[in-house]
Amino acid sequence: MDHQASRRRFLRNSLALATVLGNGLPLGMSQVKADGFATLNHPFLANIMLNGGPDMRHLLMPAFSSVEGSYGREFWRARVSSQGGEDTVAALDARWNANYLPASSGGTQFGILKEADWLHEMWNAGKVAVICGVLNDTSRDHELATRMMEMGNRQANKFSFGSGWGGRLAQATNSNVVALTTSPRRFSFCPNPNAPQDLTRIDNRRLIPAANMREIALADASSDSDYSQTSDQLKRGLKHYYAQRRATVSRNSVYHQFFEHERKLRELGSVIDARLATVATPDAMNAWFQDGSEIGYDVALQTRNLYDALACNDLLDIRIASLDFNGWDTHDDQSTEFAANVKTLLGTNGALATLYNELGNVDLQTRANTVFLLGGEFGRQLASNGGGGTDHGEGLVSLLIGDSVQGGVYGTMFPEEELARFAEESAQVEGVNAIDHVFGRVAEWVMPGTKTQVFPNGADAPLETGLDLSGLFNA
Amino acid sequence: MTTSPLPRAESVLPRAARVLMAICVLHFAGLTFAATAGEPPTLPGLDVVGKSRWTPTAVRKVLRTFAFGGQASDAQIDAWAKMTPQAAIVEMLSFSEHNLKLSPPDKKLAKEALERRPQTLRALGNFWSSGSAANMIPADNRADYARANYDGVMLTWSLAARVRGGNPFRHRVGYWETNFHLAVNHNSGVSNYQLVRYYDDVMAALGRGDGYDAVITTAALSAAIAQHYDHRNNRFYDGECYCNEDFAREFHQLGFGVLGSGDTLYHERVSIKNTAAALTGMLFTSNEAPNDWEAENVVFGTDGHVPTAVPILHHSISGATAREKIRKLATHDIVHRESLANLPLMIVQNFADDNISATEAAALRTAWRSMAKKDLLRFLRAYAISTLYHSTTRVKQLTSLDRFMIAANRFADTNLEHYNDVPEMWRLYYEEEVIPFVPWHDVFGHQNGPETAASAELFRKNYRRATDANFGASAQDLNGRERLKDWRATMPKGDGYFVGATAEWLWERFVSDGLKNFGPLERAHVYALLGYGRDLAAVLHRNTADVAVTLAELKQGPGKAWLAKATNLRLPLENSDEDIRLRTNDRIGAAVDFIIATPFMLAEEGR
Repeated sequence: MDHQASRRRFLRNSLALATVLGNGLPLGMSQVKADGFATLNHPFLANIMLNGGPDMRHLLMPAFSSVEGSYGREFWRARVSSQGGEDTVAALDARWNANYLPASSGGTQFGILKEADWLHEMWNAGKVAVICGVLNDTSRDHELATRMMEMGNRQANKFSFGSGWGGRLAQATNSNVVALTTSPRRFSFCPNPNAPQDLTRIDNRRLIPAANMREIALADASSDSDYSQTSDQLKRGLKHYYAQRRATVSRNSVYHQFFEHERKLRELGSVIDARLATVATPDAMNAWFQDGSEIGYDVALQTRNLYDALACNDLLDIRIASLDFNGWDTHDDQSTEFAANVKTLLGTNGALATLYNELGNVDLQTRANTVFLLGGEFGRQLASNGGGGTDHGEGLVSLLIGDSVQGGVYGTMFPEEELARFAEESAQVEGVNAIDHVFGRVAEWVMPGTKTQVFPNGADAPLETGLDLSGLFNA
Repeated sequence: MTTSPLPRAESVLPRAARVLMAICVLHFAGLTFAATAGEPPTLPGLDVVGKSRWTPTAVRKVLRTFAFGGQASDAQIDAWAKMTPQAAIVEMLSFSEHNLKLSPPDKKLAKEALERRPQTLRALGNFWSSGSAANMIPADNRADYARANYDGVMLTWSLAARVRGGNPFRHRVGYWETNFHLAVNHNSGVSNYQLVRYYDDVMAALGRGDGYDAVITTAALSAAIAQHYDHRNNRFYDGECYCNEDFAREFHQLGFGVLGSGDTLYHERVSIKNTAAALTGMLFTSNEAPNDWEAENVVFGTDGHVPTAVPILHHSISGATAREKIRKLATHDIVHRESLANLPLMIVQNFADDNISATEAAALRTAWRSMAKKDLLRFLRAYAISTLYHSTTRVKQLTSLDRFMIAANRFADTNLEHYNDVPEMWRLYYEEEVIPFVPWHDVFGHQNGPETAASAELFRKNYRRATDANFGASAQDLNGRERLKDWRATMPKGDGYFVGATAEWLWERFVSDGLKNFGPLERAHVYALLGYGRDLAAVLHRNTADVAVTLAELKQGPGKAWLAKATNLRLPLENSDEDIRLRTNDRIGAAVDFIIATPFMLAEEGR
């Protein structure tokens, strides 16, 4: 690799970028490190949406107890079908011992599903915050709950449209949000900069769509093309067309977004290509794309994207990333499906463990500044159903993982009042801590003073009595 | 060769009698049509668009939205535009298996005669996978369409919605019903046999004119749904339901838009629990499926079914089997206040409008509520000719599938082009990863317009498709066969084939915006590709072709003069030299490539 040539190319591209993006992406060019993985100098939130409403109670089970009437006995009894055992002390005790790794917080004893052994390791290292009873939506409707969760707007309805809380956080921090999913999720839709608290308006200037960081550039003719081929003529023609037509299209036009795509891809493509040419994909990640990998393609691609986005964080000026993983709506056969998902994501050889370790290899400061936030659109019911799964509920658990996290349980993990409801029809984990507070605190960590900009409707939102979220992150 | 007696009669009947007979036939056809067309295509709340705004462009927009562009000829589109909207829309949108005005037969493939073959997925899959001499699918590809092939159903559906001699509107609605409304996922274990039966039964219900509650019931009771949500084995014994409540919830939420808002406790603890109980006692049997797990029939038994009436939505729902109970339940869901508010919006949002305002929502609800029997066809027709649809405020961002289907339908003039995948639909499946019956969001539906538009990745892939010269390099198709395109088959000639007229015709054919966005810059680029076979800069900036031609240049004297000159260039489509004809057709293809890469192919406005 000719690093000087690479550096020259990079600087040329960077200058070009700085010139053309003057009114677009605000880039911190002074922090640019020409080659290699750029150090992340500020807090960075990777928001990972687990689609379907993950049953975090299955991930984090209370310690089994043989004492009849105790929480540890009755909850396990209510979960017999999803645990795949019989309702006997011996059978459930065996499941507990075989399937869960012990953990505790204060006086609460619980277990972490053994497939999430990396999560357990991080818990023991004090780097996992378990936030309980998080309240998003009450309808138990996936579509509506997802909309509310991603918009950070508990007043949204089925037909609401508008910005997401990740996009508003980008606006509030004067940075950008990178969407690493195939299509940007609503979480990363940005507000109108002139009316950032109007949750219905969108302006995606701060959204960087990067479904594949290593294939981001638009098709362009090679520098030595003689343009005899129709394809090259089309490449040049369309490039010129977009460049000339863009200025004539109103920002309010539905077509404007496509001109923005073209601009971002063309301008970012060469710069990112140049940077990533100097950042090798770790072998452990490359292995995900080989036959026989247990990490699914979608998980693999997004996680590698996150690694690459972090490598380019200075170019992209990002503080927020959006990812998602499917398969958490476990109405049946939960013990099998959930374990497989958890292993992929939170196992020792899973996606996040690999990413975390590789960040440690390349840049400890970057790793220290990166926090993963995991959660779904809603929680599930207390008791499992007749099909070996769990049905939709309300209160969810959000997980924060990272070196900057002050590990522990926040909120009541297993409310004693649930004991009286295990046998009730459709009894659910209750949501008591509104997302406005929980994610608002996360926003404050990303940049102090941003909570009310990101969650403007949160003033009267509920919060469990006595719960203090100020200690979620290390000082 | 026809066996009809009419040609023989023609020779002996006097002209007056033939005219009289023709009038009778037309009259009879009209009566038949009226009898099957149902209620008039108007509804309170939806004002019919005025005649002055019912133009060929308006017709094209309707076809784009509701029929993947359709295959109607220009003459037919003009004819519809001359009719009243109320009369035209009845001809344009119907649930009959064949709509030969919307999808005229492929006269080049008389032997195939798709216009006379059943258009169910089962029938088409069987035909296209068969060794029949009438089957025009390349022999090597036929097995792909069999239900035994994993991709058989999605390929069959995709082709069914594009071939001439069918009814693309019917398949657009089928796509909504089975990939969005009550979506099932092939990748979640729903078999091809179940998918086909599901699709065909739902379309048959629509074709019969069943009320929408009955259509949803047909879907809800299918093997595909029971397989996907896994309630096929749910049983109720001794007061205990051994079941999940996944579909019990979605029957109300996804099927009808009933969330139980304002009645949450009852909805959760009574309605959903009892709907789960009502969905018990099913047993799968097979007609054609080789294995039990993929069986396509559902037998609704009493064994394992809740034996009593159950309260749901504050009604007592009786019935000996799941079928009886769900049928009854649907009649209550369809008139539930939440359904009346949500269902019409869910439909319109999927088909035509990404951002329904409160005023528009009120109008749609009024229209829906006014129908004693909820008639989807009547609702869609009334909406398609309404001022609401033909409004400047209506915006629809196209899905990848919309874009591919419209481009394919508007490009191909013979089914052979589809059979040889000249429109390169493979890119939709493998590059953009949009596969019918494998919805992106599982039961919550396939890729939608807003998420497609928001994706720079999908934009990039569409751009690459265009710059690969998908339509502009015609040497061979994917099967290695010579791929000759003759645009004369569809293009109006006038006094010849001219660049300007061709450019406008192409833009309107693919974009259908009345040339609203076909400004000087678009014209100049398309003219250069058509008239010179080069990109614009290579033509106007011959020695500095890396420098873009600006809009300002085109608005000044020399630029205007060049546009005027280029407009009148002739396209040698009728040249005696085959090579010249081939290259001219390729230039037109390149212009299509350019057009589909512009933003105006990725979204549309109501007017």
